[in-house]
Amino acid sequence: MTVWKWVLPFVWGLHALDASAGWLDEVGLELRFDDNLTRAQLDRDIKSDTALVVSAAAGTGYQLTDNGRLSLTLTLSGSAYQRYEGLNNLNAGLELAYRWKFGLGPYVPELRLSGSATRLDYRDAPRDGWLYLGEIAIAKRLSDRSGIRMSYRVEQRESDTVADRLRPAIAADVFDLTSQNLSFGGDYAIHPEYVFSAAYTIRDGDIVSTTRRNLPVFLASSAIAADPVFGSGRFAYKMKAITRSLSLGVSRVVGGQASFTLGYEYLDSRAKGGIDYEANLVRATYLYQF
Amino acid sequence: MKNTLRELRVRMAHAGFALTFCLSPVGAHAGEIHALVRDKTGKGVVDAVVVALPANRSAGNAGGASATIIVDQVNKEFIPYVLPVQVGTAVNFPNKDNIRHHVYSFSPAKNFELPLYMGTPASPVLFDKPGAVVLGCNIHDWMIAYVYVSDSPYFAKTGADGKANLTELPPGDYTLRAWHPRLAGKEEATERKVAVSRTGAVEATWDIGLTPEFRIRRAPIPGQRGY
Ligand SMILES: [Cu+2]
Repeated sequence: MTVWKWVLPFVWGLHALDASAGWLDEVGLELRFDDNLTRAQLDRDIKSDTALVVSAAAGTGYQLTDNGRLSLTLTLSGSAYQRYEGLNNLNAGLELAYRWKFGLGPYVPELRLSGSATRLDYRDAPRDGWLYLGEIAIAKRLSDRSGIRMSYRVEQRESDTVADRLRPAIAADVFDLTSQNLSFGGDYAIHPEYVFSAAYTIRDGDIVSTTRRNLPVFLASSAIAADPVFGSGRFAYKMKAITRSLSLGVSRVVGGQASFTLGYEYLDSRAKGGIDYEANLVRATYLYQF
Repeated sequence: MKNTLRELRVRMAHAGFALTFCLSPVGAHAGEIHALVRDKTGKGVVDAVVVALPANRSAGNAGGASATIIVDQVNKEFIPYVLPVQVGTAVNFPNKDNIRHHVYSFSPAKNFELPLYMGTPASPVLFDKPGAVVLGCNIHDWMIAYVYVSDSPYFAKTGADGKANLTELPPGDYTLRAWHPRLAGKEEATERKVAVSRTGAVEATWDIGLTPEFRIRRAPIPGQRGY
């Protein structure tokens, strides 16, 4: 697998940074299984795969006042897929965030405003582009065992190039996507070392479904392009949908500054014309925070 | 010979306290309490504070904290986790990290705040009321430590084996107490009376109930970076 050509140096790079830098915030390793990577409705179109994701975040924070903190964070992540290597990607992002704590102590509410731009570099060139996020979030710790948070996020993805149109009248910008996301979540320590977390998200925006030629999907779509990542004769259809997701996780503390988390996420997307899909994701994540 | 004598005198002056201590061995004029704090499973409890309150309060003037007592901040944690001090002790909170901390306490025994700082704050914090003081940092919510302010000069903190020795106790009657950050129930419920004599040591053992340790965690949760 040629993907290791860049995954391994990346891991080595992280290792070297760990030894020398105090500005590294977090490093992570995740194994992620997605049972419907194609976001498809029909069994014949549904493709599943497992990816290994390596990530790192580094940055500087400026405590502007007793309550306000500005932080600039560089994030790097690389994903390597077992079967669909065209989805292998390397992302680099820069995030500017402002965190405001409404008072003193761990139980006061917090407000977080953030904006980020992330460069997306895929093996499959048509997926290359930029992802822009803007988010407002509020969080409150209720006790030493529990906390809640709510966020609103807008996402915009812009691809570098647009594929050739299959028909002059049909747009082909399948990877130019916008969405709004509203999320509610909470966590609860079920044991001094285990935290259970849950989040519910409603997403209103563009989704991409990759299928064989499909009339109902075609009628619901706003853009179409060939998507050879999943084989010949496959097409990526962009359409508007409401996606609801429920994610659950159990996270175990590993030596104070690290955690190992098993997570499950259920996604349910519904587009006009009776187009809907479901997906189940399972994640095993190791995170170390400096 | 002259030189050797002078040298000896200089050394004695330097080691004055230790020498006095050696000339009046423990047991001749002072008693000891050997304390053991265990949990309900019989395991030694670390970071418990054992206090001996003399029945004769005038015996409670000994000791006194003249040395600089500190609670460090190292790698975004307080060190030590539990610091027992006598009432009237000033404690410094040096920040050994290269980022700022914001130390505070809401505890009735000492309500204070050291807003954002690096290095050592200009003046130490005076702990002038007995009781347990919970320390926090407003930048790093997981940082927690306790200053236990004792109204008696006779106290000790247990080690990993749950043992603590209280020495140099004037003979007399004492009320003993054990305290721990996770003590289930009231500290007063651990009280017991002992008589300390000039010689020999009193053994005192507690089997205390501990509440589960639900601390705000430092370890990250996926998808929650930045909180
Ligand atoms: Cu701090």
